[in-house]
Amino acid sequence: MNLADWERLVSVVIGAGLVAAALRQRQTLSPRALTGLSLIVRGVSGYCPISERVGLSTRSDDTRHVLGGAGGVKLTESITIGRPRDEVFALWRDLRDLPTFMQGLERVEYVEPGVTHWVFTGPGGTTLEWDAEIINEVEGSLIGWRSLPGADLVSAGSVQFKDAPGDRTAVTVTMQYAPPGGRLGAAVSWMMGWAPASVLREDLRRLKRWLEAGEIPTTEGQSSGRRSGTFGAVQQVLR
Amino acid sequence: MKALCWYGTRDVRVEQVPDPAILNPRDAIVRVTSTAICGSDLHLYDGYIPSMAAGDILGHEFMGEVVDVGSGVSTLARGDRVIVPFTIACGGCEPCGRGLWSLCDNSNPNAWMAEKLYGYSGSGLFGFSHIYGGYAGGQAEFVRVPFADVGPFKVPSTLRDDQVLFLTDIFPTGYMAAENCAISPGDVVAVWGAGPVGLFAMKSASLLGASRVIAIDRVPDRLALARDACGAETLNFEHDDVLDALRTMTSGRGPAACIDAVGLEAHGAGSLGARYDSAKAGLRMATDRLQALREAILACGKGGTVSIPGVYGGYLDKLPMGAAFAKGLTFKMGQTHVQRYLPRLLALIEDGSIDPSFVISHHLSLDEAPMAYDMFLHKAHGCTKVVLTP
Repeated sequence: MNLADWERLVSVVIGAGLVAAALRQRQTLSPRALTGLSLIVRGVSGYCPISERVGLSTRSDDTRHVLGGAGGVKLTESITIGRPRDEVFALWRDLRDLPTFMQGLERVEYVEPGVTHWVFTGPGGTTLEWDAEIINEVEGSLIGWRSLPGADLVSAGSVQFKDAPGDRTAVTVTMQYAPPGGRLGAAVSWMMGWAPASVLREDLRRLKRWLEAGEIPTTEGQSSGRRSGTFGAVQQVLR
Repeated sequence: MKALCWYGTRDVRVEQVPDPAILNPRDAIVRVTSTAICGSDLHLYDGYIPSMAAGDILGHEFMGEVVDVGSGVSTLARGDRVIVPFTIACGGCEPCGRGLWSLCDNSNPNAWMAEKLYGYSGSGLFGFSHIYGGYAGGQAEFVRVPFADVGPFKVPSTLRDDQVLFLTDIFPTGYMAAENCAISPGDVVAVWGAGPVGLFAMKSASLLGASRVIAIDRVPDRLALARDACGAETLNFEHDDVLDALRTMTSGRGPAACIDAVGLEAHGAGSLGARYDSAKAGLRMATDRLQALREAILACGKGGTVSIPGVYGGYLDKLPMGAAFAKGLTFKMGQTHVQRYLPRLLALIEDGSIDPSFVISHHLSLDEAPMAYDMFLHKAHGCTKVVLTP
């Protein structure tokens, strides 16, 4: 399916109109009737071969439509990790380990080979779910994915793994996503302290620390004297 | 447990706080037997370091007995007597692998904060603001020590606390400052700041081959200690023209290396530069005062090295870059890579080449810490270094 619901409706309506007009003039096989019929079929099935050819789609959860051009929020973050490239690639490729270091990601499960189901807790505690497929893969160096239709969060992107000096790995994530609520939603999230670029950077930092140091450094739960609330609030704003 | 907590400029208090706990597998808990106040603690006390929060426990020079270890630590056991480097390092990243322990990639949980200020983050530090990780410090009865299989260094029972405590910070700091000078035998080295770090820098410079060491300060007690304990020649910048004197003392060459062991709260005796610095810093329009550094650059001989163990935090105003360029100077600086120096410095203590306890002027209890900070700040009562016992 590559047509949005509204376009399907319009297609059916115009198609029905053309067919009705053709029938009134008793032209069952005229070009007008056939066009009308194909528009009806197009609307009912939701699939347009011409749009497919041209690469257009109006579906609101189709990545090409939502993320193409100026659409979507674009992020790129990189980090160097002191582990061989194959090891880092294998960890990432499994996908099910991603929640260990990705903030907000609750779980990733395989629903069928090549398709995973993702559950994510976003800003404000909202739960977002989607299916994703790997659309491109080069063993040891590239994983490209996109979310599938029906996604709460439309996203697409790639992770590249390159050798870095000293038997290390340079990991680069390039992605785009459509924030729920559009650009206004993204602005509201940012004000609430959710900045995706820094979340992604911290995710990669956590991965590096987990692999190099075996644990994530923390001071949560450490001892201190009485605290004021001011600094905590300032910390949030600086993020 | 009791701990010394920060509550604002010139406001530190000893309070009852929760005991520390193991938070990560590579943690250990140390019962503190001795802890010291550092000159850089005074920057916290004076409110020059941002990102402090009320209730933060201070202290980064501490040692004691291991009382608990996390499941990931096999190098330490309960009962081990250790000194703990003030720099926290993971041991698994590339900087740690190169011996650049104070630049560890992985030990600062607030790396994002340091990145905003500096571009990239170095290691976490004990008790030195949230930009450096916000770790609770060691001016307390107990401390949680992260990455305890990397930092804590066992010390023999034949040496007293006073003799080994300064392996945590100021002795390696002074030594690294001197090592950074790349001293050739016969060199003359000038040291600004005759506080404990400066004194260890002077001793180290002599051990590393300097023929003469010149100490520059304004506190007579400190200059006397530099002379008596380190064999340094002394200049008092409130009376002497330092640049002229250094030229004369080096027969027109200038010192081969200049060590700035003063850092961001430099005084300077009423010179225009110093007054300008104080005004701007007082108004918080500039972050650092750099009279000592200015002078070190202007004094340094051609092709020499300016070595900076003194802490700087932000932006400097009116740095004589032209002088540095014209004379082809090398600058070396940074937080100390403590872990790198411990074996050799312990050996120097054990063979009697140096007894670090010479810098100590006062032994007090942790309860007296607030008074001790004030005394140390004003260099009152001949105060050079205070060691606290919890």
